[in-house]
Formats: sequence, structure tokens, C-alpha cells
Amino acid sequence: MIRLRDVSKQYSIGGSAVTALDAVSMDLNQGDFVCLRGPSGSGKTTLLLTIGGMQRPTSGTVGVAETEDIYALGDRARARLRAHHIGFVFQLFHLVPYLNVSGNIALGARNRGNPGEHVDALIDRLRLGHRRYHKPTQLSAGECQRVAVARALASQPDVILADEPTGNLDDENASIVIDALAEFCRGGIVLLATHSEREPEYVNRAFDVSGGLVKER
Amino acid sequence: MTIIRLICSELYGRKTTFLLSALAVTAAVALCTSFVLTEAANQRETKRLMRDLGFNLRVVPAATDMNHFYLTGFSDQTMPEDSLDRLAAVKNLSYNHLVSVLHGKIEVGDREFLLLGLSEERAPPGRAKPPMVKAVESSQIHIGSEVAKQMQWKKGDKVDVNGHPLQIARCMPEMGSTDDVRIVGSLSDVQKILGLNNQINEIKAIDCLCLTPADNPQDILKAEITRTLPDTRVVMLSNIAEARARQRQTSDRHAKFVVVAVIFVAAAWVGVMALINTRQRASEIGLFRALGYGSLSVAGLVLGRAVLIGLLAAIIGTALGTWCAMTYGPSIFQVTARAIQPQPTLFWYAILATPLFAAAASLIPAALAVTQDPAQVLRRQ
Repeated sequence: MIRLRDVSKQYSIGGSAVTALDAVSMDLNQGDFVCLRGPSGSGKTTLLLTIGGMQRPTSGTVGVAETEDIYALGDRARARLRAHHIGFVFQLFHLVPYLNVSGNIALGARNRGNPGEHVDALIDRLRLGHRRYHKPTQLSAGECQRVAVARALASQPDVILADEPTGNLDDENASIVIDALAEFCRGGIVLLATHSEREPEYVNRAFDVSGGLVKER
Repeated sequence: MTIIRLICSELYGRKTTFLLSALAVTAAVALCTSFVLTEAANQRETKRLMRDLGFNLRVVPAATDMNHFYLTGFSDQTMPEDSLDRLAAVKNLSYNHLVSVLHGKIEVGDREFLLLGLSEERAPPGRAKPPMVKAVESSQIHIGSEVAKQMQWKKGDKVDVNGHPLQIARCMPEMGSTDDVRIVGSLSDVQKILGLNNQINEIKAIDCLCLTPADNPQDILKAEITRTLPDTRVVMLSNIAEARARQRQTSDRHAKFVVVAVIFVAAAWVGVMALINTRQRASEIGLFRALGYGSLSVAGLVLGRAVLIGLLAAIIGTALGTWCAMTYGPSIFQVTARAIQPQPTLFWYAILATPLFAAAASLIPAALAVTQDPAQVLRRQ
């Protein structure tokens, strides 16, 4: 369901070229809970954004779901693909400050026929019922991340790309988030980027990312 | 969640930037509305003031001794009274407010005064305007302040002028000019008094050219008039004509400048506020991209916001501007206050134009939002 073939990404910073991804190839399938581990600046985020159709690689092809190369699509088609097939979870949550919990989750469910019911189910599943009408500024970090996970799940994607989703969380909240991702993973793919040495328990495939090189352990 | 709901939530959630933007557009709409509503009164007032400067065009018989004309203030020659009818019958002329005048000197007792007969005011075809000079009724006269003082005449007195019994209908205040020694009557009465039946010695008018930079207005007017009245000479009171033209043009230019300045400042303000808003929402826009919102949706967020602000500002601004014009306009334009009236069409123009204006002012921020690299924003963690 995810196919990367010789994906490279080079940046130019201050006139010198930086290789963020170096000829990365991988095949990921339904049920894969993938951990991308590496230090900051190793290329994990670049890889997630590239798979998510947010950052065009310098070379190589990225296939998601039935699409052979998502960068061969136009902007609109790629946006549609993201809306239907990909969910993002960020370390800093990126919640919309003027929307309440329900509204933030509904953002992810905008392509669904009856988002209200689905949003309610996600709110209950991530134990946010008592926070339904609260704004992000009224939530704890753990609650914010649970909202972000619910938003990513709301579109019922095939893939969830999670960039350090537990980086700012205590153990209890980290566990809730990872449990929710693992539950999703039964029917999809989770790519989880972390710089932590500790590997989440549900991970069934792990990759080390260093200097733009990605190697499966 | 629909774009419109997102926009409304954002406006409600970020009240300060919303209110500041709405305030700018509302103020611009209110200013433009009150300006437009009072402009008619302003123009009328300006015209009125300029008209009060007096006639600036004098048509006298061609044989007039100009020394006499300038020394006494009137022509020593006469022309037929129907000259006015001929002039007033010609279409597309550059003058208006035509009046026949018969001037002469007259002795009343041992005093010498100026006697002036005025006809009804006439206008060329299709250009009728409220008269500038109110005609004196038959058998009545208006007298200057010195005449009243020296003759000890007052309003209502019946007096004898060269054997003609006339009633004083008005004693004019001191004008500081030859008007103070003038007796003004109807043209027919003055013709009888002076023994010049069906004769006039001048046609007065106001030119309507208002200075054309390429042409000489005097040449144009002289050509127009002498075509109809070949035996006449046209004297233009250049100072009055120029003052009149310049004042009207200055007033027009000022009106245009104020409206353009207000619109420009409001556009700049709305644009800057939209830019601040877009920068403030950089990570939010990045997130929307990640959630699958396309360029159109992102542009719609910025432009839709501007359109909503414009719509709200149009409603409040026209109401506020109309209220200001109706409340404060009459104290500014006291004579022409009746010209200040609410204009419902202005409201519909504002409803159409203001959202477009606000959206146009937000085009650059919208373009920045669309072209912003979401990956770069989202990786700033």
C-alpha cells in the first residue's frame, strides 16, 4: 500500500546541498506498525512529509494506495488523496485554536457523509467526552494529542503518519495514543517517527534513519 | 466542516483582527456614503455661492462706446428687446441664466440715481434652472440703501419716479457698490420711464464652460453669441468666470481626492490586516493542507473572510454614513440641506462593491497563503 522507489530529497541550505533522503526504497502493507527511529535532523520528518504528499522528492517515486506515483498527480488530486487516504499526527498537535474539540476532529471528517456520528464515536473512543466543547487552550498536552489522533482517524485513512506523537506526553497519555494508533493499524498502516530509544510495544517493523539513509532492522 | 463555517468560527475566535479589519472597511464605507450623500448639497452650495458672484457675461450692442460702458457701467446703445428671445431659442449653448437689462441714469428730486430694468430670466431650450435673479413685479421697485437713505423712502411707500407711480417692494441692505444708488424695476416699467419701448441695452448671462484648458472660453462664447446676434459685442468678466470655474473644479477634484484617499487607506489597512492574519495562521493553513484542503479552499478561507467582512461593513457602513449625513449634513450645508437624502441604491452598490473591494485588498495575502510551503511550516516543531 506504500511503495517508495529510490526516493531522494536534497535541500540547499546557505548555498550547500543537504541530503535529507538518500535513495530510500520500501514497501509497507496493511497491518504494518512502522517505527522510524533516528536523531533529530536525520530525515524522519522529511520522509513522512514526502509519503504524505506534502513534499516533492528530488527523485524517485512514492506510491500510496492505488496511486503509483502521488507526485505525478496535480495539486488538487494530491490534496484529495491526502483527504481520503492519509492522516497526520504532529508532535505539536497543530490544533485549530478557535475550534473546540468536536470542531477540530470534524476537520478530519469533512469528506465523510455523516461526520457528526463518527466524530462522537472518536470522542468517546479517545476518552474526550468531557472535553467535547473545550478549546485547545483549555486542554492538557495529552488531551491535545488525543484530539490530534482523533482528527487523523476521522477521515478513516489507509495510512497514519505520526511525527513524534508522544514526544510531549506523559506515560499514561502516550499509552492512550499508541493504543489508538495500534487499533487503527489492524486495518491500515502506521508510520511513527521517534528519536526515543524506547520502541512502542505494537511496532512490527522498525527502520533506522540516519543521514538520509533508511535501513530496516 | 464547511469553509463558511470555518470562516465564521475564525472571525468569532479572532475578534481583534476581525474587528480591526471590519472597522477599517466600515469607516471607509461610512465616509464614502456620507460624502456621496452630502456631495449633492455641497455641489449645490458651491454652485449657489459661485452664482452669487453674479453674471459673468455681458452682451451689449456692437456700437457701444466702451469708454462710456466702463465708466458708467452700462452701454450707451440699445438693441431690440427680442434679442433675448433669439438667444434663448438656440440649443446647445454654453451659457445660461439670460436676463435682458435696460440701464439708465435718472434724476429723482435733486438726486441722480441709476435705474435698472430687469426682464424675467430665460434659459436655453432644455436647460431650465431655478432663476438666479428674482424679477421685480410690474409697478414695484427695489431700492439701494443710499437711495432709501437719501430719499427717506422705505418699504411699502408709493413713490413717483419721473411721473410713474411705483411702490417700494424692497429696500436692499448696503452692498458697498453701485447697487446702493440703484433703483430696480421691471423691464417694461423702466422702458416706459426711460422712453425706450421694446429696447434693452444689455443681455446678462452666466457662462457654463468652466474653463477648458485647450480652448479659450471667450472665443467660444463670442462665436456662439455673435452667430445669433451679429450686431453685438460680448464682454466677459474674466475674474468672476475664472473664480467660478476654478472653485467648481477644485470642489470636484477635492471630492475625488477624498474618496480615492479613503479607499486607498482602507484597502491598505484591510490588506495589512489580512496579511497579519495569514501569517498568524501559517501553521493552521499548513494543517489544512495536510488534511487535504486544496489551493481553492485555502484561498477561499482568506478571500471568504474578506467578503464576509466587506458584507458586514457595507451594511453597517451605509447605515452609519447615512445617519451621519442626515444628522450633521444639514448643519454644514444649511442652504441646500434638502438635497441630502438617503439613497437606497447606494446601499445596494455598497453591498456589491464592498465585499469585492475587501476581497481585492486581500488578494496578496490569499496568494501568499496558497503558495506557502506547508511542509516547511509543519516541520517547524
